[in-house]
Formats: sequence, structure tokens, C-alpha cells
Amino acid sequence: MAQESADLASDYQFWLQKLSAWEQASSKETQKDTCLHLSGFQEFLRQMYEILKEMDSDAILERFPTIGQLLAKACWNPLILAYDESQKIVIWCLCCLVNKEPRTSAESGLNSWIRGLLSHVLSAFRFDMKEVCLFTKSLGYESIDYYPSLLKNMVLSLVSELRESHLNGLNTQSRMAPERMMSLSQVCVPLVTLPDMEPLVEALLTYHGHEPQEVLAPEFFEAVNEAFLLEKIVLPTSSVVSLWFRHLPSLEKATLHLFEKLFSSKIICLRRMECCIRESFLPQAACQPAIFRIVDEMFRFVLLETDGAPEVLAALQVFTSCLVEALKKEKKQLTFALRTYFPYGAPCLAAALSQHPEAIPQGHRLQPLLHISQLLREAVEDCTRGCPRNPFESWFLFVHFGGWVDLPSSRP
Amino acid sequence: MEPLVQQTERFSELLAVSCGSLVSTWDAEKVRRALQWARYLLHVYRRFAGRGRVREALERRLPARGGPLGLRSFAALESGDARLALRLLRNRALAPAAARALPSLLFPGPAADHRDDVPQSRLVLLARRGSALRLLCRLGGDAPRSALLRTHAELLDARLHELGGADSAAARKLLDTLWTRGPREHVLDVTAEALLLREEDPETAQITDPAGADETQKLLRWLLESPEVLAAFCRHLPARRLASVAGCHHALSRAYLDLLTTWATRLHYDLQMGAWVPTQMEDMPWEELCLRLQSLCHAQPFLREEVLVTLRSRKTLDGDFEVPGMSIWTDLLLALPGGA
Repeated sequence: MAQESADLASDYQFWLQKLSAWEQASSKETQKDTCLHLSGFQEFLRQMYEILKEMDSDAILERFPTIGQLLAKACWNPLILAYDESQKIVIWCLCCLVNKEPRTSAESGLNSWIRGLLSHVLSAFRFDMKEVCLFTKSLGYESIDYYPSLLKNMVLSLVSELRESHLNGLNTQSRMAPERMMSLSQVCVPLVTLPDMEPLVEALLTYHGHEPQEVLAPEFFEAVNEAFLLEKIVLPTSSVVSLWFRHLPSLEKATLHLFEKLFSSKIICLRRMECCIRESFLPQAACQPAIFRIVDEMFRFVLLETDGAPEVLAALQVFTSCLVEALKKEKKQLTFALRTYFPYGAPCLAAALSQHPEAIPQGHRLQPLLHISQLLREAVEDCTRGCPRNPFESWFLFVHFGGWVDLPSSRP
Repeated sequence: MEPLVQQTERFSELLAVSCGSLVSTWDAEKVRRALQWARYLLHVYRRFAGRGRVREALERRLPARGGPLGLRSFAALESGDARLALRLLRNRALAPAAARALPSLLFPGPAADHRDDVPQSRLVLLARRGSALRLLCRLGGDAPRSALLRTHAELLDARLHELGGADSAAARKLLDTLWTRGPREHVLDVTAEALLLREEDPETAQITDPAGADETQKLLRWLLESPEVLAAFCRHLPARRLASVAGCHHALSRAYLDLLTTWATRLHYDLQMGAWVPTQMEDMPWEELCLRLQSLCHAQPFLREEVLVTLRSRKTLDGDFEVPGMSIWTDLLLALPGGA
């Protein structure tokens, strides 16, 4: 209990310092730092709320005398208010702070101050120009009326700016400046899970700039990937593929996430495995050879680490068959692009394996099976004669194709 | 039916006074009851949103008691609780006891997270959206301004729709008020945007919103019947934008062309300078006149036709001079594509 208390106290100090630092400077670095700490701060807020809700106003102020400062700084930071549920938890904490029976003017003053802060949080956006404000009032509208519409139009304007920039390829003047794109992607980090932002997120992901290096902030890709893996947003396949193609760490994370689902302590049936793999979008993404190679590499690693565990083998086979299916949908055939997908292993072996045994009529499967077996034997014997080709590569190539692996043990 | 209408009117009155000083007499119980009423009306909205007769009956009785600050339409029942909440939170006149009770009434905590008939989640969403707007607008660029214009145009359209039916007296009154309160330039920009609102996607607009043309017509009628506004409209808006608006509305293009020809007659030929110059400071200069006529010609083929026909007939009336410097119509035609 005492340890928890001490931990909380030091966390509290840490966050108070961070919030102060963030409000001093509003540079790119501060913004980046804030984005990195958003989920951590939300966790802290949740912990605080659990404690505050059991206490009354006087007790809270006694235990956390600077709580007002902390909450105020959070309220004045739009990045924090924009993130996930942080605005809700801050509001709940403020409600805990209200003094139900104020006896002094200081206590009433506190209540008044809290109301002001709540009011501020709920209308975080005010028009810069008084005249524009006047127009809205003359029409008789309030923030609750125009926030949704204004946000929708803001997103639309930014999306068309992106599209135009994309179309105007070589025309440098109408192109969106890289700094602007970077800022835009940074600002989107806390907002990724807000449904209104979906068109903008999609447009950013599929924007193929004309600069040689990536113009979008890496924390943007991380945020989108995280939200996608936790099923907090829904994105079209093309956007997800684009995300993984442009940001390698996200691809790796997504593959690990899949592995965790497949290889955790619970044993799952093949059907469930196939479902998980398909829903992960990885087979569709793996139609891109560059993406396939990375996922394949990770499978290879896990296979080696687990000494060829059967569930890993099964997953690899299901994955490969999903990939073949996805390629068929894209009207590509594995045979033509084999070398790009499987640069290891003998090319003739790859060619032989790519033909699905189901595609061969029942009685004629023995011949190709013997051929494959012959190639495999040669591959191993080649090595014993001192050839550099690693027999593991051939075996690894072979085990991708479940249809052939199972054939010898299946009934004729 | 009658009790429902009464309930709605009473809530509308409450809503109307929630901005003012009357709330100093409210206690926590009254606030709680008001929010309960709002919740009840939200259920009413959801139940009758698709039922025309009840909806119409309620709408007929609404504007009467509440006034502009009360419930303005049936649709407003959906957000009555949130609207009341925001007004009370902001109102410094609210009695201290009621003000103390307000936060926990509005934000009960995690237990209310999954309820869709209390304002908590909707208010939280509003907060998030507000922060999003703040962050996106900070980026600058053209997006904030164009988004604002479009939003204001949509809001204006919605208001005009509310003042439904063929009665455009109410619409005219609203527009006159907007014009008087200003800022005038903004009113003109929003008017142009509103007139272009349905033109971007005419096919879908026809299918989904056949009555939408009503709002546009009200706006157009007001514009054409207010000479001061029309003149300001035609001078303030940039040539290209005005040409696109004119291209969508024939009556406006005629009026615009008439104004341009009137302004053209204000210019006289200065022999020393060898150019057409304005008589007074506020007259439209030659260059701008040409630019505007050129923009009209480039906007739409039918507009080009109209411009050329108008100018040619004026030229004939003037004496059909071919020499520059004699008749402004001759010179204008020379400056236009296909005019010579």
C-alpha cells in the first residue's frame, strides 16, 4: 500500500513536470514529446480518478494540493484533450473536486473555477475573429450545432488539399510543403480514433508524395497501426497495406500481434487460425513481395526458435494458402512472380510446389509428388557434396505449401 | 398529444431562459428535473422522428412559446439536454447550489458511459471535436477559412429551410438582420458559398434534396430584391467566383450584367491619357470592368453569348463606331474573346 502510494506520488510529480514543460514551449519537439506520452498520461489519469472518486473535495486538496494545477494544465493542452478518452477522465476528475458544502469563499471560488474549466473544455474551439462569432450568433447557432459540421468541412478541405497536391505532381507551387504534411500528420496522432477524421487518415496513408524520403511523422503511423490492431478504427485494405509498406515497424508489430493471437497458450483450431490470419489483412498486404519477405522472415525466425513447432508450421501453411488466394483475387499468379517471393531454395522446386495438388486430377498426383521428393533429396545431397545451398532453405520453402506436405499422409 | 405539446413548450421556455438571469432562482432539483424532461423529449424525438403527423404538430407549436432561444424545431429535441447543459455551465447567474450539482448531474461517471440518453457521451464527443478543430486550425493554410465559409453556408441554408414554406417574408427578415449586423463582407462571401452549395454535385442534389432549391430561391430572391446588397455583392466578390455563381443562376447573371453595363457608363474617355477613366473615385475602373466581363465569358458559353449580345446592342445604339475611344462598348468588345 505504502509502495503504491510512493509510486503514485513520484508519477504525479513526473506528470506535473511534463505538463509544465509542454505548456512552456509549443515547438515541434514538444508536440512530438506530448504525442509519445499521451497513452501513459491517460493511464495515470485513470489511476487518479479511481483514487479521487472515493474522496471528498477537502481530502483531495489535502492529499494533492497541486491537483488544480495539474488538471488545469491538462485542460489547456489541446493534444491531451483530443486523445482517446483523456478529456472524459479529466472532466470526471474535475467533478470529484467540486466542494459539495462550501463554507468559505475560497471553497466557493474553487467551485466557480471548476465550472469555468469545464466550460472551457467543452468549447475548446472558439472562432478567432469576433465578427465571425457574431455571424454564428445572429443565425442562432451554438457550438453544439456547428462543431460537427465545421469539423467535417475542415476534414474535407484538407483531404482535397492533399488530393490536389498529389495530382499536381511536378508543379512545386501547388504542392503541399513537406513541413505542412509533417505537422498535419503529427496533429492527427491523438485524433486517429475520432470517426470524423477517417477520410483524412485514409488520405494521408495513401498519399504518395514526390519526395524521396517519408514526409509523414513516424508517430502517426504508429498511432494508426495501434488503433487498427486494437480494432478501434476500421480502414480499407489499401490504406493498411500502404501503412505497412511505408512504416516497417508497424508491419513487424502487426505480424507479432498476429503471432500472439495464434501461438499463445490456448490451442486454436485450424478454422479459427484461418479466420485470424485473414482478418489481419497480412495475406493481402503480402501480395507486395517486399511485405511478404518480411513476414516470411518472421515466420522463419519463429520456426527456428521453436524447433519447427507444429502450430507454427500450420500457421505458415494457412498463411501461404491465404496469400495464394489473395494473389488470385488480384489476378496475379504465384508462378510468374515466384523468384520475388521465394528467392531462396531451388527455382525448380518452387515452380513444382506452386501448383496446388488439388488442381491436379486424383490419379495423377503421384508423379509430381515424386518429382518434388526427388528435388528435395537432390537439394540435401547437393549440400553434402559441399554446395553452399542450405538444406534448411529448401525445407523451409517446402513447408509453406501445406497441400504437398499433407499429401503423402492422405489417402489416395 | 396535448400533454406532449405542453411538455415540449415548457422545456422550450426553460431552454430560452437558461441563458439569462432568471436561473438565479433555480435550485438543484429544478436542474435535475429540467434534465429529466430533456431526456424524455429525446425519447420522444427518437420515437416520432419518422412519424410525420406528430412531428408536424409539434413543429407548428414550437417557435411560438420559446422564441429564438428556445427549441427551434423538432430536430432540436435530439440535443436539448446537451444544449441546456452547455448554457447552464456557462451562465454565471446560476444559483450556487444548482451550479454545484450540475457537474455530477451531467457527468455521472463510468456507469453512464453506455447510456445513450444522458448527455455525458455527447458532451465528451463535443469536447474532443473542439480540440480537433483547435489543432487543425492551428496548422493554418486555406482549409480553416474555406471550411468556415462552407459551414456557415450550410447553417444559413438550414435556417432558411426552417423558415419553411413559400413564405419568404421571414427569410427576408433574417437575411436583412444578417446584413445589418454584419460583418458585411462575410455575409456576402457566405451568400456566394450558399448559392454554390448544390451546384457541385447537381445529380445527387436532385435525387436527395429536390426541395433544396427552395432555400436557394429564397436567398436569390432576397439578393435580387435588395439593390444595396446586390451592388456590394457584385463589387466585393472576386471576378472568377462571381462568374461561377452567375453561371449557376440565370436571374443573377442578368442582374450582374445590367450592373456592369451601368458601371461602364460611368467611365469617360480621357484624350490625354488615351484611356477610359472613372468619373468619381468609387466608380469601377476600366481594368476591373474588363476582367469581370472576361471572367463571365470564360465561365459558361451561354454567359459569353449574353455578354456579347448585350455589348453589341449597346454599341449599335451608340452609333456603331469602330474607332477606339468613341464608344466604351466598342472598346470593351475589342477586349473580349470573340468580341471584335
